[in-house]
Amino acid sequence: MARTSRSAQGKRPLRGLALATLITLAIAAVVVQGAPGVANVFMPVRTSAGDLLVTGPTREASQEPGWLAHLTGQAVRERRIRELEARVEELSRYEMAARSMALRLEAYEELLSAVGEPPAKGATGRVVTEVSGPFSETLLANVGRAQGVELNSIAVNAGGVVGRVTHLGERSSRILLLTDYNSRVPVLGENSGVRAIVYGEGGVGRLSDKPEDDAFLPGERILTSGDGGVFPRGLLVGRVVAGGGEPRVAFSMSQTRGGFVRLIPPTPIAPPEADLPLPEAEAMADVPVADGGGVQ
Amino acid sequence: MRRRHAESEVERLWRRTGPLRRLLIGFAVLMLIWFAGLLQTGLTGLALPWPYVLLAASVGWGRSGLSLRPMFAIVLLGLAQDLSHAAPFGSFAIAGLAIYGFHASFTRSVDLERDPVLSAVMPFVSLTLGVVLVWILASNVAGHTAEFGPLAASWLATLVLYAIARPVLDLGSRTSSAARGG
Repeated sequence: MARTSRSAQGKRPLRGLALATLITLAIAAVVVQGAPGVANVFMPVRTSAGDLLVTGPTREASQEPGWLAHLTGQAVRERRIRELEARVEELSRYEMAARSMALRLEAYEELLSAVGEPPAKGATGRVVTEVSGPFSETLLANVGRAQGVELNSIAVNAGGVVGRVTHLGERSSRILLLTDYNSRVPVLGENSGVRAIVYGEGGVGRLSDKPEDDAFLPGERILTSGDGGVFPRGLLVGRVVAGGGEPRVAFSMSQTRGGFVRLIPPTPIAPPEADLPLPEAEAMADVPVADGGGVQ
Repeated sequence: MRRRHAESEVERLWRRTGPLRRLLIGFAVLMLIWFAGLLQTGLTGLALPWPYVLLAASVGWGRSGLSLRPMFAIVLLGLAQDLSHAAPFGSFAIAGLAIYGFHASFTRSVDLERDPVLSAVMPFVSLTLGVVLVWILASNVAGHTAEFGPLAASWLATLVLYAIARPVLDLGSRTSSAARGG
């Protein structure tokens, strides 16, 4: 036992020396790497190790994702990207056809002097926060006046109408959601043609101001009617679902929340011009009236 | 009853395990934790503060006194942390070895009998010193004062890790047996 203890005591200075040497070497390594030339020597080691750690080993020939890519979900994302790329390619062909048709339509409208739909404008923003508290149900998007957003702009997402801009900042917009109780949107049934006002209650839409003798069809799509001039006509709001003996609207915006909204400026309908007095009438009014009140 | 029996079985097995195997098991566990830190954002989408496994190892292994194998393991863990933190190679090794030396010296000279109070306080002191050392090194390498916020979060995470992984990092009470023997 005493020999073991002596041996351990004898090794202690050696271990201390080894520790001091390792620390000195580490300090030297750090100092040496301060020189750009030396740091560049380590760069390939660092980058290849980083690549290996982050992306995982890949088989060069097949470019198949490695185990790490499978583990982190990168493989699924890459497959999805490839699918979407193929879809974009396919849609590009449709886009060309649509552009050609739009040009022809424009020409026809010009020939007929018809007033077409105004071109789509607007800005797309990311949803920064979503408030669904007791006071209001709103979204905050990171686009505002600086990006051309106007008050009462219509917010839409991939599903349909989301709401309208109620507060506008320089770089932010607060959107009152359709699901809010204070939201009132004039709508119509796509098939039945019945008009009503929709507002939010408990996550679904309630329909008010309906005609008594007409009814919405179950499952039909609900679109904006354009009445009132705030929401343009034809934007998808949702579908009619049965609920509590009354038709309710399942908002389509809730089905696709990608975190982005497009804010389309409102297209208010200009009020008809006030009746202007005709020039002849004005001229006649200037003529002195003869006795008897008749016009000579 | 059964659970207690199972625990005692694990403890008995761990007691029988030699310092080298303990070191290898501790090293493997810490490397797994380090690796999980690399994947956490990819897997969860979050960027949680991650512990400095190197410092936990330095303090844990330092309790058993100076030895060559833990020093090399610390250098390897340091290189791994250098890679993940994009630090110059050797930076973390400096901090790890210094804390290992400090903690081992303290245990050898003061805490021979593993006093419960000192055993609780000293890891805290050593880990804090380690994080401060990392901060000094980072500031020195970057040429400006490094942000302390992320370091503080990692310091807390390291304390938690050390508290959990402490039994795995115990290489055996060499100092107490040496003291008893001598």
